[in-house]
Amino acid sequence: MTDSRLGDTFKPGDLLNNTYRIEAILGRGGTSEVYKARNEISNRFVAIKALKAEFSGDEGFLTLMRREEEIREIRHDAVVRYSENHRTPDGKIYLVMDYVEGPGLDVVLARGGMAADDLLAVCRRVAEGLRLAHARRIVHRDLSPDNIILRGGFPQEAVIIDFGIAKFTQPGAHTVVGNEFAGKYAYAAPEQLSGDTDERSDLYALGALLLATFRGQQPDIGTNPSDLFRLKALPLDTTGVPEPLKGLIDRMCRPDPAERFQSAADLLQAMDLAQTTARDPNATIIAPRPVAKNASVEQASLASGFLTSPPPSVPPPTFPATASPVPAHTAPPQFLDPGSSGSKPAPGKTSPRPAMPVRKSSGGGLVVASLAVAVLGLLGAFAYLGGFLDMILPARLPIADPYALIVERTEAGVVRAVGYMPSPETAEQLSQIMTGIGGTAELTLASGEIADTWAADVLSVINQLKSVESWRLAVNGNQAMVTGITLDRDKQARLQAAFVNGLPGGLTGSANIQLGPLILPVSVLTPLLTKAADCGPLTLLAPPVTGYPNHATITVTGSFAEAKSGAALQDAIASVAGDRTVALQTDVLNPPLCQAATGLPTAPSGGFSFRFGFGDREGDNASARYLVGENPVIDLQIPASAIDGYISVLALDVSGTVIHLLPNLNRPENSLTALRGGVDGPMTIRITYPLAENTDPARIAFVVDPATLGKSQLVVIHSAAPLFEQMRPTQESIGGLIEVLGKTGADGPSRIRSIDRALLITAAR
Amino acid sequence: MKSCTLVCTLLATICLFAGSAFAETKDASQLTPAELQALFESQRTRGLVIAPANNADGQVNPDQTAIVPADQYAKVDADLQVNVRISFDFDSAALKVSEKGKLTSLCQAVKSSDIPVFRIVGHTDASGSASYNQNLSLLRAEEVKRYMVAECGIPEAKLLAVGVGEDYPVDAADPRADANRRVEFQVAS
Repeated sequence: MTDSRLGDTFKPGDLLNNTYRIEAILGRGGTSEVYKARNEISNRFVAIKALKAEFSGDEGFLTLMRREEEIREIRHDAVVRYSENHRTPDGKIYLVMDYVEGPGLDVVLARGGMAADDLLAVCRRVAEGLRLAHARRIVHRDLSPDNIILRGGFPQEAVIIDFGIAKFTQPGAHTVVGNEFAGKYAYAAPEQLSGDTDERSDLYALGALLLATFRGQQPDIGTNPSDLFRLKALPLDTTGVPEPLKGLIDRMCRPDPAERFQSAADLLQAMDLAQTTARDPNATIIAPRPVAKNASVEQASLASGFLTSPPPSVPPPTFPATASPVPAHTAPPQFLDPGSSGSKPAPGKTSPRPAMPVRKSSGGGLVVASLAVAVLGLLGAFAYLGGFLDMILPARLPIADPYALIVERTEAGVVRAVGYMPSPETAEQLSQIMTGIGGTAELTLASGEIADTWAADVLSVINQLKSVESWRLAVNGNQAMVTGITLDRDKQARLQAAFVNGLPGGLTGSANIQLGPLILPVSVLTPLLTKAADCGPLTLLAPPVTGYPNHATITVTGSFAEAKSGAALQDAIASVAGDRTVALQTDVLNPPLCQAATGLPTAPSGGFSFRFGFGDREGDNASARYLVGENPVIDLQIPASAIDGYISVLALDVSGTVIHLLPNLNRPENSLTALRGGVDGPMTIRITYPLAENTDPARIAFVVDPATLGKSQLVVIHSAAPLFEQMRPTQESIGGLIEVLGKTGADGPSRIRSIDRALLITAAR
Repeated sequence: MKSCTLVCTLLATICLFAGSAFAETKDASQLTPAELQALFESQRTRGLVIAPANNADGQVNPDQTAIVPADQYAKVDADLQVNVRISFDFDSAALKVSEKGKLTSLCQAVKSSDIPVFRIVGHTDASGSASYNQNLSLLRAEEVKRYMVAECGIPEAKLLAVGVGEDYPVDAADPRADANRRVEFQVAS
C-alpha cells in the first residue's frame, strides 16, 4: 500500500456514493489511481480506479473508462470482476471492481520465486482468462507479476487485474518516463516497443513473468534503449527451468510472434498435451529452442529493420525527457483522439533526432540541457518510442515530429506547458507566461514542420486563454485545438467571438470555449432553493443523480409568495448554471395558502387529481378558472393504486379558511373501501355539486362570491388511518388545521401516504 | 359557501347572540377596556369562593375550594360574565373577518391587565352530539385564542382555551337557543 498524497483524487475516509469508504490507496498510474474501499452496505472490499481529476472532463478519457468497463463482459474467475463507472457530485469518475485479496506474483517473486508446478497452475489459469479476453478482442498489453494476484495465496486461483487504461492509449506511452522504464518494459514483447501489440504479446509477457517468478529475479533488460532493443531480440534464457515449464516458456517468448503459440487456446492445448505425456521423459512435445544462428538472424533483421526505416507506428511524444518530479509525467499528451494509434511520420522523412529538453528553473533562468550520453538512459526510451533512433547529434535544433505542445490549466488547477518550442526566446516567453499564471513549463527546443509565425500564434492564443478558469491548447504541428470552460458568460462570448474564424496566423483548427460548469451538482442548487423558499418548500423536478449536464434544463417546482421571489431564484440559479435553462413550474400564492404550504406536512404525490366542471352546463373547465356567479363542480379522480385507507379533501380559500369537503358532519364516510364499494381501478367521486342538488346537506355546492377573489387550493390527503381523531367542523381556519396536522407531521398516527393539490382560481367577470 | 371567496349555499350564517332572550347580558365587544377590566376584577374576587367540589363526607374543604384548576370551567354569575357575540357559521370554527373587530377592546383589556391567565370558554347549544359539540366549542375557543395571540400580541401563556360544549347554557329553558352558543372570557387565576 502507498501513502496518501495531497494531489490524490480521494483520500482514506472519503465516502463515495454513500456506499464506498476509501480505506487506502493501492497505486498510482498515468491517468488514474487505484484505491481499496469497503462497501459499507455489503461490507465487501472493492478496488476503485479513479480517473485523475484533470482528466475527468476529457471526453477521450471518459471513453477509455467506458471501454475499460467493458471488461465486465468477461466472466471468468481468472479475470477480476468489473462493476461500473460512477461519477461523484463534483465530477470525478471512478470505476468499481472486485478487490482480490492475496499476494501479487511480484511479492512472490521478491520473496525468492515459486516452484515450477505452481507456476504451471498459474500459467493455466491466466491462459484461460486471456483466452476469454482475447475472444473479445481485449488485449491486456501490460501483463506483469504485479498484475497477477494469487487469490488467497493459491496459484490455481490466480486473477488477472488491471486491464488498464494505458492499453488503449499508446502502448506504454506514459510508462517510459524516468525510473519506470525498467519496470514497465521488463515483460513487454519486442514488438510492443514499436507499438505493435496483439494477443501474442500477452503470451510473451506471461512467459516472461513466469520465468522471472520461477527465478525470483526480474529480467535483465539493460538500462537504456540500446540494451533493451538488443536483449528483447534474444530468446529468453530458460536454462535450468524444468520441463514442461521450460518448453512452454520458450514457445511463449520467441522474439518473433509468428513462432509463438498463436493463441491462449494453443497454449492451453499444449499444456494438456504436456501433462498427458509427462510420464514419458523422451516425449518431445515442445518445439526445440531456436538455434543460436537463427537467433542472431532474428536479431539482425529486427535491428536492421528499425535502423533503416521509420517504425511502423509513432506514438505522440511523451513529456520531454527531463527527470521532472512534476506529476505532469503521468499524463501523456493525448492528441485530438486519445484512442487513436498515433500519427505516422511522412514516408521518406529523415529520421528525426532527439529534441533538446529545456526546463524552466524556479529562478526564471532557462536551462538548456546538453545532450550528454549520460542522459540517454532517460531520453532513450522517449526517443525510441518516438522513433528517434539516430543517436548522432547535429549542432542545429533537432527535428520533432509530431511537433507537439500542450498548454493547459486543468479543472484540478494544474497549470503547465509541455512540448516543443522553436527558439530559446519563444520558449522563455512561454515560460514567463506560465510562471505568471502559477504554472510550470517543460519545454524542449526543436525544429519541425511548422509555420513561420507558429510561436507567435501559439503565444497569442495562450495570452487570450490565460484568464479562463480551465482550458487546454493542444498543438500538433500547425494543427491546434483549443478547449476551455469558463463560468463567466461575458468571457465565454468574448472568446468565442475572438476565435470565430478559427485560430490565428498559421495555425489551423478551432476553439470551443464552453460556459461551465460541465456538471452542475444538485448540491449547488439546494441551498439556493432553500433560501428562496418563501411559500413552502421548493423542489427540483427529477434532478439527475450525477448532476445536471451542460445544456440541461433545471426545473423548479413549488410556490412563491410573490412573483419577484421566483425571478430572484431564476437569477440566482442562472448565475451558477452556465449554459443551462432554468424553468419555473411554480405558482404565486396568497399568504394563507403559503401558510398552509409551509405549515402542513409534506408527502409525495399519490396520483390523485381533480376534474373541474360547471353546475349548469356540461364540459370541463381545464383551467379551473371560474367567474363570479359560476357554480364549480369538482370531481376527485382516484387512482387504481389507492385501494384502502382514508381520503380527506379540503379546500383552502383565499381568506385562510379551510373547508372540509370530505369528511364532514353531513358526509362522514371517507374510507376508500366504502367509497369504492367494490369497484376496482381508477374511479371518480363527486366532491362539490350543482346548486340544484344541494338540498341534500351532504352535497355541498360552491358559488363564486365577488367579495374576495383569487386562488384557492384543493388538497387531497390519503392516509392509512383517519386523518383526524375527531370529525372537524366543516369550516375552520388554516391556523387551526396546521395546529392539528402540523404537530404530528406525515408520520403522525394517521400515517399520511400522499398529498395532491390543485389550484382553483376565481375572477371577476 | 363562504362569504369570502365562495358561497357555500347550505350553510346559514348564525350569530351566537342573535336572540333577545339574552338581552339582559352585555355584549362585551361593546364595552370599553376599562369596563371589561372592572368585570374581570369582580370575577377575580368572587370566582374564588365558588366551591364546586365536596369531599367524601360532604364537608367543604376550604383548601380545595380555593383551587379551581385553571383549565376547568367555573360558572360565573350571569351579570359578571364577559361574553362576546362572535358569530360563527354553522358547523364552523373559523373566525370570520367581520367578527375580528369585536375582539379589539378585549385584546386591550387582557393585554393591560395584571391578571396572569384568562380562560376563553367556548359554548355550544344542545343540537348535535355532546362529544361533537365539546370538540367544536374547544376549536372555537382555540380559534379566538389564536387570533388574540397572533393579532393582538398577547402572550400565549396568558390565555387558556377551554371547550365546555353544551353543558352550561345561558338559556337553560331552551338548550337549543342560539344564545347558548357563545364565547366567554373568565379570570383563570
